[in-house]
Amino acid sequence: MSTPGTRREFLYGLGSSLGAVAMSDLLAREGVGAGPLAPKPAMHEPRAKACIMLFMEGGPGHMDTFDPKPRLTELHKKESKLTRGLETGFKFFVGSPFKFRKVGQSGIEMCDQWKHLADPVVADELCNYRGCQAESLNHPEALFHMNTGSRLGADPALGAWANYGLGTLNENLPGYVVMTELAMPQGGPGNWSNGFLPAHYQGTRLRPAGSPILDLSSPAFKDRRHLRRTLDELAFLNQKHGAEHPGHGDLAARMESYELAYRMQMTVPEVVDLESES
Amino acid sequence: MRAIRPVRHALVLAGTLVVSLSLSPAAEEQGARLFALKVFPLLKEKCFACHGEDPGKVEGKLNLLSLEGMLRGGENSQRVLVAGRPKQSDLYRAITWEDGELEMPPKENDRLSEIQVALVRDWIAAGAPWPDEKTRRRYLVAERAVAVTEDGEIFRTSGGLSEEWTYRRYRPADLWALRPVAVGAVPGEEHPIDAFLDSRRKEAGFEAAEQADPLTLVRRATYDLLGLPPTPDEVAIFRKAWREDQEKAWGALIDRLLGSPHYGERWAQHWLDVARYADTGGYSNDYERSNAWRYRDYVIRAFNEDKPYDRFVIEQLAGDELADASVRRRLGITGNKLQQLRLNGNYTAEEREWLVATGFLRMGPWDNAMVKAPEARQIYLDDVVSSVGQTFLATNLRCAKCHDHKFDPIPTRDYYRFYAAFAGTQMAERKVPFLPEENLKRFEEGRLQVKRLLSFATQRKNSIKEKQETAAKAWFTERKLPYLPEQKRRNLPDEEKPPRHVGLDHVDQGRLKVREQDEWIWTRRLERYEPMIQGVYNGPDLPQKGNRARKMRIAGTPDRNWRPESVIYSGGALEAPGESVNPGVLSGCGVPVEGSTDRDPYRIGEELEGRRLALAKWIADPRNPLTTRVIVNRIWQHHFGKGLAGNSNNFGAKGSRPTHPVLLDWLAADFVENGWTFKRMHRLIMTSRAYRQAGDHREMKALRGKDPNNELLAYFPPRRFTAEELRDTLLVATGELNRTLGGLPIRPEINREVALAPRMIQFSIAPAWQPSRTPAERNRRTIYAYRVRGLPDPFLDLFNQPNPNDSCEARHSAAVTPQAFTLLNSDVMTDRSIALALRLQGEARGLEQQIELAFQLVLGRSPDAVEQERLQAYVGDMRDYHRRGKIERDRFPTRVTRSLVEELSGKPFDYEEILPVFENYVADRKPADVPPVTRALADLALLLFNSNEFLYLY
Repeated sequence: MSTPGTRREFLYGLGSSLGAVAMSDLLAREGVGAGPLAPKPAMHEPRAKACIMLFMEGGPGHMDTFDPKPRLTELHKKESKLTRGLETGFKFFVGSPFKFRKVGQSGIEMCDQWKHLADPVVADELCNYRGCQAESLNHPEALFHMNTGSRLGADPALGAWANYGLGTLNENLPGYVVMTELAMPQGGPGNWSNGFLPAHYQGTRLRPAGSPILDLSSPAFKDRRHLRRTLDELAFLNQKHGAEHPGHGDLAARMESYELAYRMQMTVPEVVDLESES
Repeated sequence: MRAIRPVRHALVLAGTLVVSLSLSPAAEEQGARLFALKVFPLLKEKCFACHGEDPGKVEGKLNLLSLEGMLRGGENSQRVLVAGRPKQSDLYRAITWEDGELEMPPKENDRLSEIQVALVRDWIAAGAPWPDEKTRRRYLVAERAVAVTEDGEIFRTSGGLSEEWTYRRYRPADLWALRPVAVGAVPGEEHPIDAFLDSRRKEAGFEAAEQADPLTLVRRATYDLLGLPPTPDEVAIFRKAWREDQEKAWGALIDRLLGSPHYGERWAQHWLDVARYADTGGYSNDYERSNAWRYRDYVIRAFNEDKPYDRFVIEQLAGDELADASVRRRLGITGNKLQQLRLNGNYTAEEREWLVATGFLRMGPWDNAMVKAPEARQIYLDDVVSSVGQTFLATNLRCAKCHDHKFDPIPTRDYYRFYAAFAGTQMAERKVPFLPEENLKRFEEGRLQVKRLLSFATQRKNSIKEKQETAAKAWFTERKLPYLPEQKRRNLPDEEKPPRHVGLDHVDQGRLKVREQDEWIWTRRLERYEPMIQGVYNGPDLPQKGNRARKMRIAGTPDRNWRPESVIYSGGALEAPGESVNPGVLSGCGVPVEGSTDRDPYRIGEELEGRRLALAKWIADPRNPLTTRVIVNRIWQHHFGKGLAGNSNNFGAKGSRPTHPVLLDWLAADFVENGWTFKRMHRLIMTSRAYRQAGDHREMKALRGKDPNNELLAYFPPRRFTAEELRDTLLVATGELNRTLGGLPIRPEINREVALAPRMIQFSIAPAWQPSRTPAERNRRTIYAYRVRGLPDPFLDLFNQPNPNDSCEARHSAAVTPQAFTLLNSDVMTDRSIALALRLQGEARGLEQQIELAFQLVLGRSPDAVEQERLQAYVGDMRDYHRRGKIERDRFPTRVTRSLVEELSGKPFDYEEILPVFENYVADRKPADVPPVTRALADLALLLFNSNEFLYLY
């Protein structure tokens, strides 16, 4: 079997019944993905094309990296009478061990530890928003707050909103992808959930070890030929069923998801293979 | 220059242009009224803050608080107001944003709507009359005296923080759920549900769908009531009975299903979705709530016993108060004696059941780590208020925590009165002996396993401590000082004692912390086997020491005189306490609290005991317009896929309005009249023709165009299995399901990577997921699966089991690609497919019979000739394929190495976690355990399990 070149060839050329059903659907949709993840016209013309959010919990604080606090420096080692925190005993202020300087044409401030970021080529592309305030002392609530806007952890995440608002052009990957460390962050999947938005908009976690998406690969004793054959039989059964229930819209979407799964098996490992990055 | 009439005050007219108008008195009156009712409040809302309210900072030096100010103008304009000439007035031009230079208010979000701009225009055109405050007041009072105008309806409540809110007008249709339930006449001779549905459907010009075929009907009914498939025998019996007498067969089917104990399991699941059941506490520690399962079983029992809903409500909200009242009656004790009894749990069976029911109030996520006590308390109480509002009243009370509700007639005062009703409620793990109905099997084996994990942690901890103390001894010896053990030297100054972790490197320190944490965790988990509940009691707020969530107990000696200080927190902030409030109910429902006075019919008494009982009785009052509509709507939803009111947790202005309001009210009234029972309501719904319709319609295309959401219910809506139905059905098909009811949560096998992946909790990594040791334990119904807030079961999560941190009014069922991966490739599905294959081989001879049986077990029918032929070929090919292939045996690890960063040094260390369950684990049969021919049959099983026909119910 030669590798089909285009998506249409792939489905049409199989001689399987799935092809016929999905084909008409495809033609109606004119190419790029459809359904709830289809790219949508935005309410306001966005200037951004994509969003990559690097959320690095547990790193050094803002006062040591990008947000100099001159008053804090003055108060270094002086006693603190503040009562807001939970500490007991003798309390004192601790200034940053680092010095700050302005870099680039914009004069953005950063501590003297940054070398590459301080290069004007990079620094002048940066914009610092120093207005965020957290409200929680503890990890999960703070994580939820940063990722979803609510400390309670049941709201849609930023990525879910972006996915909802803009859709995706990529037919072979989920619209909202989450790459975590090996350990799940505190709070777990509540940090990339769809909340009250429909389930399509949730983040799909690409796992750093093992299979990038849960169960992406077939069990070791079943190869891709086995899968293709199985999907063909599945298409036969589903097509028959679909013909008996013509009004039922979900059936076609489910059938399509199997073909997407088949494609993703090939593309996802490529995407997460950092060795091939230049 | 002439004065403008009918203004009565002096004008400063320097530098302004005044046009004289000849308006009729009526027109002037209208202009003045327009100003008083619409324009002045608009100016106040949009302009005054920057233009006059703060005398120290008047933007553009333009003061808009008075007519003089407007006419005087400011820095940027001398022609702010030209009476009679809106287009020449800069005020008007600024608010239209057409000027480019002048755009007011400056933020796009605050911009006036077209209607609002028109109001200002009309006012200026009418001569810009500015009646004095007394006159304006007169207009307001007159306007407010009329309840319903074209502007909407004023709705009486206990009053907002501002008059504007109190007297705002609502769209009357938005207040539908607050009107008393009205019993309408049934429009026709037939079944009341059909009568109501038919009348709307016929108006739209559509006929009903045909009746569904018997296979579809028996599956639909069995899934709706039990969440399980009918067995082939049950299908055959039903079909035979159906051929003889349809009505009789249907009635008998419903009776049998309602009499099954699996009914309670199914309908409890719906309730637990709303109540947010889980076996852990969430947030950073995700502590186990070791006895939550007793609440889950309470709910199952409640449904099986057909407990009237009003009792169900009261028991969950005030079961402890009921129990205490019963004890007082029974034994005549109060005060300290009663407190003693609370502590030792000497309750009757009935009282114990009531106490278990209060687990409802413990179903929200909660952990006070790193949060100050008053705030943690507020988080809990807000959670309870919000949950009670959504669950029983379909009302979003949380919106009123910070201000008067933006859309519904719920003043923030009412939120805080509701809050005050709970303000004496304290969380506690309480001693409540087991009931005879509770399933206590497997306690001994479970306890042994927990003890094993506990002793491992303790051993490792002790050996590190020994190392530490050996070094400590050396330290003392070197200084010729007597040795002091750790506890004794703890409070000495630094010079007189060795460093805290003397003799330990960062690896030891890291491991020590982990082992101490583990010791705590496993000690606490022994509570699973204790006669305790996750419950509540009434008592004073306690000073917080450390993390209360670790251990919550009833306070030893109650302060009888303590009362919570209940106030309205402005903006929801503890730092901004406002007006004091008494405990009370929602004033907008128009239903008084039992025993209250006319002066404040919505007030609950201030005794610490009895507040929740009063609130619960008010909710369960048959006159409460929300309660009864809410529950019948939920019952309807779980039969027809969607409620008559589409948002079951929100009957407010922003929720969907009912498609058949008269039917909804009729059902609510019928529910109450006949004892508030569920089983009767199921019968009523399921005996309607509408419920027995087919899922297809001859005019489907036209219907989809005119009624895309099937509001008319002209055909029966198909749906996909829920996560629990899917797993339970797989286990029934394979013959693996253990149908035992109730008891400790079990652990199915979940994806291995997920089970062993490190999951951060406070200070450490959570214990790995160890599945239950034997298939019989693992293969229980899904409602019994251990539910962890921080770690959803990936299989169930994929099929839209909801996040238990939020009340779920209705499940999603989107088809997403990861579902395809899991259904095809996961170990869970591989195991089920092997199990089915083994069953086929055990119960049928020859491939043809095996395919026949597979279809019967999975799809409930026989394959046709084409399917037989194709699938025989498929299985044959798969046999060849598997014969050629090699397969490796899987191993279960009994230990896993974990890696963490030690907190103080920042250096990584690792430690070992044992997984003792795998030492004598009874695994499911795996692919490597069976011959190729079985694996080929398993491929067939997997195929059927992945098919649309399997996953969808019609």
